[in-house]
Amino acid sequence: MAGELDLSVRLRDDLVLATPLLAASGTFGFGFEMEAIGGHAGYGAIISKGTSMEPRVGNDPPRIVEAPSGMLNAIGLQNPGVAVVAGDYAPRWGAWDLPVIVNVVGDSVADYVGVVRRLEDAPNVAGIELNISCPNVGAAGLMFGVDAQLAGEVTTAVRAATAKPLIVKLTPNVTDMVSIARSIVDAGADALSAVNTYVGMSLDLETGRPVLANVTGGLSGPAIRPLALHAVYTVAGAVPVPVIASGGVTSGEDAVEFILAGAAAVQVGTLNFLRPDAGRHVLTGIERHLRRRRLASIAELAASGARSPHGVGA
Amino acid sequence: MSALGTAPILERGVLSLREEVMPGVWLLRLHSPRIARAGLPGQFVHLQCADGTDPLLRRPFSFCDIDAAAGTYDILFNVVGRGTAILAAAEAGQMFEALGPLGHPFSFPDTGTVMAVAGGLGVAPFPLVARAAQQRGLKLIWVNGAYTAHQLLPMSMLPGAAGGWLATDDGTAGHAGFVTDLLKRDVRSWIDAVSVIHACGPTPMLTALARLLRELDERSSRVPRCEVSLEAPMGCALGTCLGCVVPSADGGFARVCVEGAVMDWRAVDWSRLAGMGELVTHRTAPDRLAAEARVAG
Repeated sequence: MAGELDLSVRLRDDLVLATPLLAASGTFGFGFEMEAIGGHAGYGAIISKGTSMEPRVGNDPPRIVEAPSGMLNAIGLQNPGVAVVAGDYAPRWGAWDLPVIVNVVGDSVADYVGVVRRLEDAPNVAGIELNISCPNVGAAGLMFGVDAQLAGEVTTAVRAATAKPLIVKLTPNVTDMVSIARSIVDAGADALSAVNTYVGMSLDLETGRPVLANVTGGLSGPAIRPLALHAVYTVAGAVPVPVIASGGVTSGEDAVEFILAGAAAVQVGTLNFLRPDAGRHVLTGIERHLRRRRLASIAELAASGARSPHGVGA
Repeated sequence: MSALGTAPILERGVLSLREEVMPGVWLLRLHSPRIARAGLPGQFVHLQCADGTDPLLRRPFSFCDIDAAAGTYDILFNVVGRGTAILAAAEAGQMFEALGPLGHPFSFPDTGTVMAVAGGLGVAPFPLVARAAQQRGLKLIWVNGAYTAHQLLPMSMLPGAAGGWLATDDGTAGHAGFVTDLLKRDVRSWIDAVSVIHACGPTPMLTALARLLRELDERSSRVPRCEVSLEAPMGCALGTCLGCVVPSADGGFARVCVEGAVMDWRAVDWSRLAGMGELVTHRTAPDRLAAEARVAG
């Protein structure tokens, strides 16, 4: 089929991505290691590793263990702190065409606001993804993500601190994602990411002890894809903002399925650990699908789906 | 050690040889010329054991040996889980994609003696180390510990090595006990002659070696440079997932895939590492492993 495909997606008027794919937080570092091996190809944006007010050393190892078609991780938000991210890393992002969205973590509303304020002064920060859903750092961070009122409160406070595009990442480890999603959207979030990892664990059969030093970890990879698809379908049907899917994408077909379910864009996460050309691999599959179905754009693809999402198409 | 500028290569290798070199220990030879030409002693490949998503993660293997002219590299492993079980049953001609070479290599002095200290499947990188030492005209002192005699690396796999200091836990060959006990007992016989120690093996062995070096250091003895090859369950092997860390001397963690796999012994916090228990991986001696061990296999 002749003609250029329009792969762009709009998350907000000032955050239009050249492709519908975002590198998921925690799977791409701060972008530098992957740039060195050509891993940026295919992506429309990068979401950084979770960034906190102070540096964090992270959890004791073992931090990862394989699961059927998936992996459990309990990294514990190891990161150099916002001063390094804003002062040393962000200036270097200007060399890339790719927008970089900073994933922000905290233990309190003041923490989240502090990190976001510090990022206001940094160059090349295209947006904020608020991580209120990390399962691996005790109660504090996750607490905000499992309670609709608290999720709304932290979103309100961060919204007041930044005019940048604000994405909030949902945890699936709740009984009702929709009420939490609505509370976050009412508080002024521009978009939602769905979903963070599912809490799981693995035992060593010889010792009887948990394999992960943290006891539990977050399950990611293809194992969670149908679960994430259901979450995206449910949340996208309930809120008037773009939903960015995240959950076990390994191919263009997987990404297409999320878009048909109502996702405005799709994160690629664990696949970055399996192949350094993950973004290009998934994008090539999307392009092949569009051409085969004679669709000209992501917007046309989305319109053909079970949910017609918000925010698709530049 | 210096960081390498070479970007890792993604290449599909063709299996040309699969051999059980010791009971339960397999050597695979892959024809993968670009990776083979770029690989250095102590570096590793991140190898995909199967197509599809289960098992999901690639597996890290040190270069056991490299024949750059033939375009092949070897890996050595025992079966500890599903990934290594697939590899141990692979047929010649099968293709396996790998990313490599990765990590910091062992360094070699211009002249002098390399002492290679290997325990269990920590022997894996040493055929290539021995070859590199031979090519540089360096003397090699081979120190090998294992659970039992048949798990000691066959000397035929070590180019240029005439003999070695051997130890087995069960006393079936060499000293009955640990190689580190031998090294401590006979320290005067080697401490002044050795330019660099290259060590790879189970955490208790490396911890004991580090303890010995620290004791020597505190007695103001000359302590040779010592580089240890570490391992951990690994995710991306590119430095982004932060999964494969070991405690570092600065109070934080070092990534085995980027700051390692070969690190200076002083960069590791051995007391914290020892407190974290032994990881079950392909380098651990087979007799100490459960058949279904599944952490990193």
